[in-house]
Amino acid sequence: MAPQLPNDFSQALTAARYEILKYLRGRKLLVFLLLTGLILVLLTAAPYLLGVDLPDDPRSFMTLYLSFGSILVILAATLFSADSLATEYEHRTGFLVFTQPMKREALFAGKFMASFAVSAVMISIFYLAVYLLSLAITGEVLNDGYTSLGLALLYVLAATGFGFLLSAFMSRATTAAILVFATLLLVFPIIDSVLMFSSVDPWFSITQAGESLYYVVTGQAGEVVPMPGFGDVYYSEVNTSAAVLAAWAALTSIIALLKFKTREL
Amino acid sequence: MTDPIVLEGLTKVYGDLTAVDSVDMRVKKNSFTGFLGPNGAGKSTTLKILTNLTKATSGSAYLNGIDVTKDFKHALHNVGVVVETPEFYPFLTPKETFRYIGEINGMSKESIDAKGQELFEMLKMTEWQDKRIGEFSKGMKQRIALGQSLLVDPEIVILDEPTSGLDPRGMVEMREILSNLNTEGLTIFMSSHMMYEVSVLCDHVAIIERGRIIAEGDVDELLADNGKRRIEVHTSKEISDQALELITSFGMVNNAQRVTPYQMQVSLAGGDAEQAEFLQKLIPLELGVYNISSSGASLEKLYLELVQDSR
Repeated sequence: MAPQLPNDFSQALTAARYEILKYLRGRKLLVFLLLTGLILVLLTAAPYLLGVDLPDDPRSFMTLYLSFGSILVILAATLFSADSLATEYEHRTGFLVFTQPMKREALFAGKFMASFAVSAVMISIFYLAVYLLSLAITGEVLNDGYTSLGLALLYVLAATGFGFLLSAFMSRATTAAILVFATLLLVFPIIDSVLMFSSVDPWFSITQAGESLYYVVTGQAGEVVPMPGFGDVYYSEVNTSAAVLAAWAALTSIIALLKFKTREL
Repeated sequence: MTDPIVLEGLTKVYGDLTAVDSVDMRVKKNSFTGFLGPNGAGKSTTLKILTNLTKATSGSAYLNGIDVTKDFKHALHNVGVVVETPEFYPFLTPKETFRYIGEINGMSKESIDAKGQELFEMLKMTEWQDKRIGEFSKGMKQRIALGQSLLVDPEIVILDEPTSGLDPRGMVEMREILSNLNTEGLTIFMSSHMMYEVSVLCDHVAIIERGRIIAEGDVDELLADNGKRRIEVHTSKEISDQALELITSFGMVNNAQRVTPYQMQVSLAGGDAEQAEFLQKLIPLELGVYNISSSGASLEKLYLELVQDSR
C-alpha cells in the first residue's frame, strides 16, 4: 500500500529543508559570512588604524556601515538564488526531482523559500552586527535603521525573484550568477544614472528602490536634488520603494515560475 | 481492471517534427515490457511524457488509470522512475537522498530507513549509504537511481537504459535484480538498446520507429508470428545430412542449419505447442541431444527486419 501523498505545501517545505541543507554544507555561506565580517572589521578598525574617530552620532555611524547594505543584498542574490533553478538542468538532477509526484510549483516554492530565508538571515546578521556596533560606539540605534532592515529584506525578496528569473532561463548556473551580479551591480544602476541625467525619476527601478535602504538612514529619502547641467538626483520615497520592490518580487517570481513549469530537460 | 500503462493517441510535435505520432499502446499488469527503437524513433520522448519531463501535444498517457497529461502528481504516485542516468545532489548521501525522495512521497522516516536498508543490501551499497554521492561512479549512481525508484514499493517501474554505464558484472547483477523484481509482481516498462538484455528479461516488447509503434506483444508470439522463434540444438552425435533433411521436413520447422557438426540452429513457426511437438519428433532421431536453448539473436533479427521494413 503506497503512502498518502503530502499536499503541495508540505512538499515545498521538504524541498526547502533540503535546499537549505545544500547551503549549510556548501562554501557559499562561509564566503558570505567572511565578506560580511571583512566589511565590518575594516570599517571599524581602519579609522582607528588611521587615527580617525568613528562617527559618534547614530545617523552618521549607520550611514557609514549601511552604505554596504545593497551590495550585500546583491551578493546574497548571486550566491543563493542565481543557481537555484539552472542547476537542475545543468547537472541533470531534474531527472530525479521532476519525475517525483511533486508539482514544479511546489519545488519552485521550496527553493524560493530556502533562497530567501538564507539570504534574509545573512543580511539580518549584518544588520544585527551594525546595531550592536552602533549601540557600543554611539550608545543607541537609529530608528531609521530598523526601517532600513525592512527595506533590505524587501530588496532581498525582489533580488531573489530576479535571481530566479535569470536562473529559470539560463542553462548554466555560473552564467546566471554572473548575469545577476552584473545586472544588479552595474547595468541597472547605469540605467538609473542615465535616466537621472535626463531628469527622469527611476522610481520603478529595482536598484533605485533598493538603494532606499541607504537613503532612509542618510535622511535623503523622498528628496530631489537638482544638479545643474547633469539633470536631477532622485532619492526614492520609502513607501514607493517598498511597493516597487514588492512588485519586482511578484513579477519576476511569476515569470520565473511560468518558465520553470514549462521548461523541458 | 485497467492495464497499468495505457497510451492513447499520444502525440508530441516539435516544430515540423512529429516525435511521437498517435501512439496507442497497453502494458499488461506484472509484465516486463521492453521498449525498443532506433535513436530518434520517439522512445525517449514517450518515456519523458510518461514521467512528466515533457508535455504531450495531444493524446493521453495513463499510469494506473490516471492521465499523466492531466494529473501527473497522482499519476506518478506509486510509480518508480529512472530516466537516463540521473544525477544526485552531491551534498547528500544515498541515505539522505532516499529520505528526501521518501518524504516527498509521504513516507515516514522509519519506513524510509527500513526500506532503504533493504534496498542498500539488495543493491550492494550498504557500505556507501553514508558517503556523499558527489564522488560516486556512474555505476554506483545507477544503483542508487534504481533504489530510489523502488523506495515507495511502486506497482510500476519505468526504466530508461538501466544497465547503461555499468561494467559487465554490474550489468549481470542489475539484470538479476530486475528479473527478481518482475517475479515479485511489479510491472516493468524498460527502454533498452541491448537486444540480449531485452530477450533475457522481457516477456513483452513494443517497437517504435519514426514515432509509431510498428510491433507490440508477447515476445514468443511475435517471434512465432514472424517465423523468428529460433532454437539452438547441441548433440553428442554428428548431425548427418539425412537427419538435417528430415528435421527440415517437419511441419513446424521453417529452416534448419548446421552450425557445427554437433550443433544446429532451427527456426520454428508457431508458439510453445509447436516447439514441444518439435522436441517430441527430434528425440527419436537419436542424435544424443543434450542441450536446447533459445537463440537471443532471433529478437534482434526480428527487430532489424521490422525497422528495415518500416523505412
